[in-house]
This record gives sequence, C-alpha cells and structure tokens, in this order.
Amino acid sequence: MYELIGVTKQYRRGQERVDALAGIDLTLEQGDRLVIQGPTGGGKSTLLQMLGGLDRPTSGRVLLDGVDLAGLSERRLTAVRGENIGFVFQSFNLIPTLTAQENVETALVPLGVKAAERRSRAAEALESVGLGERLGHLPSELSGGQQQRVAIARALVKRPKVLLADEPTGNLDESMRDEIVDLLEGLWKEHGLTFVMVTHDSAVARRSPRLATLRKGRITIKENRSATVAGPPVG
Amino acid sequence: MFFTYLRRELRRRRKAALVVASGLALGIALVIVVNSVSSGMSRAQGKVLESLYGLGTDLTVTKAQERPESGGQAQRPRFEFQGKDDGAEQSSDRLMVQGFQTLADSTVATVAKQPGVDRAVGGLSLVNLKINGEFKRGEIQRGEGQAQPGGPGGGNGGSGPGDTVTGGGAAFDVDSFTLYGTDVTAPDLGPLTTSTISAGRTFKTTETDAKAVVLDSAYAQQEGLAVGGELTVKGVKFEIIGIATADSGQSAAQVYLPLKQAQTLSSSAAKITTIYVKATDSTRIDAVKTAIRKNVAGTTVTTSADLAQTVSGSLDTAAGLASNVGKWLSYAVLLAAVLVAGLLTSSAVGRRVREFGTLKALGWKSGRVTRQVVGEALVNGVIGGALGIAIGLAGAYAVTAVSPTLTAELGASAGGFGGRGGGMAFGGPAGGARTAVGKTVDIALTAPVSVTTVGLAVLLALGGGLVAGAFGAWRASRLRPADALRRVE
Repeated sequence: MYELIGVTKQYRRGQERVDALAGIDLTLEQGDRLVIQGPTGGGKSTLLQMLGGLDRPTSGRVLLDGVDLAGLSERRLTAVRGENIGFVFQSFNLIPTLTAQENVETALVPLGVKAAERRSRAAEALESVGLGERLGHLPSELSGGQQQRVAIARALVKRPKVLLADEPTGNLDESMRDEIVDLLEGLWKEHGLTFVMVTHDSAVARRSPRLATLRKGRITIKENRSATVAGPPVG
Repeated sequence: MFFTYLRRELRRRRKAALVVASGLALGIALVIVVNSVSSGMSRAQGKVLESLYGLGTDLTVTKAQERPESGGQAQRPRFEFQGKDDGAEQSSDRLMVQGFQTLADSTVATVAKQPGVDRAVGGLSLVNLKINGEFKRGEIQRGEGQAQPGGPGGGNGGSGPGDTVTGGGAAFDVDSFTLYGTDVTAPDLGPLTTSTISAGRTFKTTETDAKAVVLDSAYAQQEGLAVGGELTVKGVKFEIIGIATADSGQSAAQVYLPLKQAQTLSSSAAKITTIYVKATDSTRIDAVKTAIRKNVAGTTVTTSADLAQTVSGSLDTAAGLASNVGKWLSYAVLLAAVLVAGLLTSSAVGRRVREFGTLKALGWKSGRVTRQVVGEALVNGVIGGALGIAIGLAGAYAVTAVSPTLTAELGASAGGFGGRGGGMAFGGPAGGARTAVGKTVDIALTAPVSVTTVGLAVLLALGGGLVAGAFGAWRASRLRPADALRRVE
C-alpha cells in the first residue's frame, strides 16, 4: 500500500536548515493502523502531509500502490487525494457557511458525482456517524464532537483507501475524545482502511497495534501487543 | 455546489460585499452621469449649430470678406434728417443686407453642380433699422442779466460774450428687426427648418413672390402681432400667414418672407447672402468644401465643424469640463474602486486560507477554487453594476429634470459661419462693414443615457468584478494545501 523510502524534508528558517524528516523508511499495508507520536516539531504532521500528498519530500520516494506521489504533477496529485485519501483535522476545518450535509458533499465534488447522488451519499455518511438528524445544521450550530463527526463523514463519504487524522481529538474533551476514537476505530474496521493518526494523547495511542515515534525527523516503530482494538479483516 | 457556496459566502460577508459593490457602483454611476452629460453637451452643441444652419444643412457658402479699397470707407448705414420745426418728429428707416456682402443668386446653381453636393438653396438676410425722434432747439441765456429766446438761425440779435445755450438736443428711438428672404420652393432646407409652425401655416411653394410673412413667435408676442394681421416693411404691407417657434435657442430671423420680396425691398435683385448646402454623403463634407472653395471663387465655405470651433460661453466651458475633468475623474474613481475591491477580495482570500487549503486537500483543483473566488467577485461586480446603473440613471434623470441652462456664444471670431448673414447675425450692423458679430443661444442641458452608455457600465461592472476577482484568484491559486494547513496550526 504505502512505501516510504529515504524520505527527507528540509525547511529553511532564516539562515538555519531544519530537517523535519531525516530519511524515513516506512511500509504500511492495506488495513494497517498506525499511530504517530512525538514531541512538537518532531515531524509528525510533516510525515502525515507526505502520506497525504499535501507536500512533497526534499528527497526520497512516497509510493502509494506503487505510484510515487513525489513525481506526480500537481493536477494528478490533487486527483489522487480526491479519490484515495480522507483527511480529518484537529480543528475540523469545516466550511462555516455550508450545512453539515453540504460540507460532506464537498468531498464528492472533485469526483464529479451528480448533485442528487452527492446529497444522498452525504446523508448516508452523516447517518453512519450518528448525525442523521443534523443534515441542515451549520457548523456553528453543532458541538465540537458533532463537528468532528461531520469531518469524519466528509473524509469517508468518498470511500477512500486511506484515512489520515491529525490530532482528531486535540480540541475535544475526554468523553468526546473516546466517542470519536471509538467511531474512527469502528469505521476503520468496517471499511478496511489504512488508518494513520497523529496524536499527543497516550490514552488514544495505546489503543493502536503499531506505534511510531518521531523525534528530530527520525522514526521508531514498535508493535503494541497490548492494543485494545483488533485490526480490520484484511482482503 | 458552486452557487450554493457562492450564495452562502456572499451572505456571510455581506458587509464587505456591500462595500465592494458600493465602490464599484459609485464609479459606474459617475461614468454614466458624466457620459450622459457629455452626450447632452454634444446634443446641445448640435442644437446650437442646427439653429444656425437649419436641419439637413451640411455647409454654408457666403461671400468672402473683402477689404475696403484704399482710402475707402467700410459700408455702414447712413441716416439723413432734415431741419424741421422745433419738436417735429422725424423718422427714417433702412432695410439693409446683413453684413453688406452679397452673392449673385446664380452662384446657387454653380454650387449645386459641385461634386458631392446634393442640394443648394439661397437666402437673403436683412436688417430693418428704423429711427424715430425729434430735435429740440436750445435756448440762449443772455449775459449781463438779459434773457431772450434765440438759437441757431434765430433772429433776435445773435449771441454775445457771456451768453450760454441751455436745453435743446435730440431724442430718438431705434427699432430694428431681422428678416430672412427664404426660397419657398425648398421648404426643407435653410434656417426656417429650425422652427416649428405654431400658428397659421408656412409658405406654399408657389408663393415665390407673395406679400406674406411668417413671424418668429417671440417677435410676434413682443409686437402684439398675430396670424391674419399685417406687418409693414418699408412701406409695403405683408399678410402674416404663420407664427414659427424656434425649436431651440433663438430663431434665425424675426420675420421670414419670400426671397424675391426680400430682394425687391432691399434693392438687392438677384442677390443672396448665404447658400445652404446639403451634401450627398455626410462623411465627405470636407471634400465638398474643398471643391466649392476651388471652383466658386470669392466665397467662404463653412462647415459645422468650423462653426463648432466658434462656440464659446458656459456651454463650451461645461463641455470642456465634462470631457476632460469629468471623464478622468469618473474613470479615476472607478479605477480606485476596482483596486479597493481587488484588495478586499485578496484580503478575504487571506482570511480563508484554511478553508481553501482544506478544499484543496479534499481534491478540489486550483481552477475550481479560483472560479469560486472569481464568481464571488463577479457577483459583487454585478451588484455594484446594477446599483451604479440605477444611481447613474437617477443622476442623469435629475440633470434632465433640472435642465440647467447653458449659454453658447457663436460666431464671435472672424470667418465665423453666420458673421455675414445666414440668419445668425444679431444686433445692429453699425460699426463697420462685416464686423464679426455673435449670437447667444441658451440651451437647456439634458443628460440622455444611451444604450451604449448602459452597455459600457455593464462591461465596466463585469470587468471590475473580474479584475477584483483576479486579485483573489491569483492568491488562491498560489495557495499550497500544506502551507495553508500549516499556517493555522
């Protein structure tokens, strides 16, 4: 599914060179679940952006199903994102003027799905995250947890191969956090997704069968035998 | 999704949208008002020129200015009064050719034969000047206490040292009016075409030598004359058959009569002062002018373009302001409005980087995001355009409703169109032969809004919206999703 080979990412901060990623090698299979932890500035979000095709490495290769994302044109890369990758962000990133249903529909627009089908698929996705009664609500009319559910529905409505979540519980209280993590794990299992999540929350991280730690751009991966959630059926 | 998103965004940022639209509206309204006022100025100038030419006249031909022979005197009116009894009223009148310069009426046929000339018709402009009054003798006051009546030619001993003359003198009224001898066989060309018959009728084409006159309405009112009455000119009685009201400004003459009668009364047999020429093609007027000047010696040919250069007064000043200051001001305001709209749009994109970054992360192509931004700006432009057109139309309507009066002064320079007749010379001809005389015409300013102006406004609104959108679109298109998402972390 994913194969990262010697991926580096360097930034310039004034005269100083910052190595956000320093030669990352990583393999993820279809249906894998990986939680990435590490200190602030360790390169977690940068790695997620590489996986999501939002940014390009300074060197190295990011292969998704054998296709090097780093070598794709911007247009093609956008299409790959639109078709295969779902994102969930810490601050939900919903369009404030659109209703919950319309927000979910925005993920189907680049796929050229007709309006009627968009509406019904968006309604279904919201139903699946327990917001069937909130289709016409604006983000400002929803709680933080509900907004994140809308964002999850938006990420999954296009039936992606990959779900990337950047601190999805970072803006939520504890009870809401568990609710969202339960939901994400349920969907991961249900859809057989490759699921990569960045989190600071150790309680959330402990539930994952694989844990990656990023420190100064270098990655360490370990298996978590005490993971509380079993993986999805593969194949 | 495009329209839903567009509508919601405009609703969310309606205050900013209103500011952008208002700026564009102001600029567009100014463009409409200034353009329509300019158009009104042009129309006013056209009316002024028309009032001199008559409808359909492209050029006029008059006799070229001639210098008086060496040591000679320029022609001027001369009145003679005889010595009569003290206080007896004396009267003298003169019917003179305006400008004292005439052409042979055969010149009309010569001009008509020139290439590019469709039709030519001659006319004779006259001024009737009448002086009525009396002389009164003075009285001699004798010195050394004597007081005896006397005076010049008196026989009471004459005057001596210390005598003084008191009283005496002359009191005269001057009455003048202008006449125009018109070719009644060509009623659709010449000065009378600038007036509308408001009572009675105009000349029949058969009345070439009829003792009939048509009066200008202002003159008829001033003199208390009406259709069916009589007007005496140089002892000849004419029947008043019609009253003509000038369509704009002042009329070309106060009294219109058949050309032959005018020639007879003024002892100008077979003479005319002006030839009115209609060209076959209005775009070839300069060529016609050249042909006439070359082939008809001793004439001055004047076109409306020549005449337009002699227009001065508040109309000319206002036209200059409208075409120079007004147009530049309106376009400057519009440009500023577009720039402000562009900056506001760009700034709005700056506040929405996370939104656009998210959409790009979801797979929205840059073109789709750009279209969304341009679409919003375009709608602002359309709203601004609609507002601007409404305000502009209201402004133009207000100008037309108020109809400020502008004054046009014409022919004050040598070589001016009407300086030698042609129905435009006003005032007495005294003061030397062919003194350039002017005509003052009051014109009510209107502000007609043409379809072209409205079309221009629509284009400016759309263009303004597009330019404003381009600012934001440029910024949105350069937005990389990773940068956009990173910036809000």
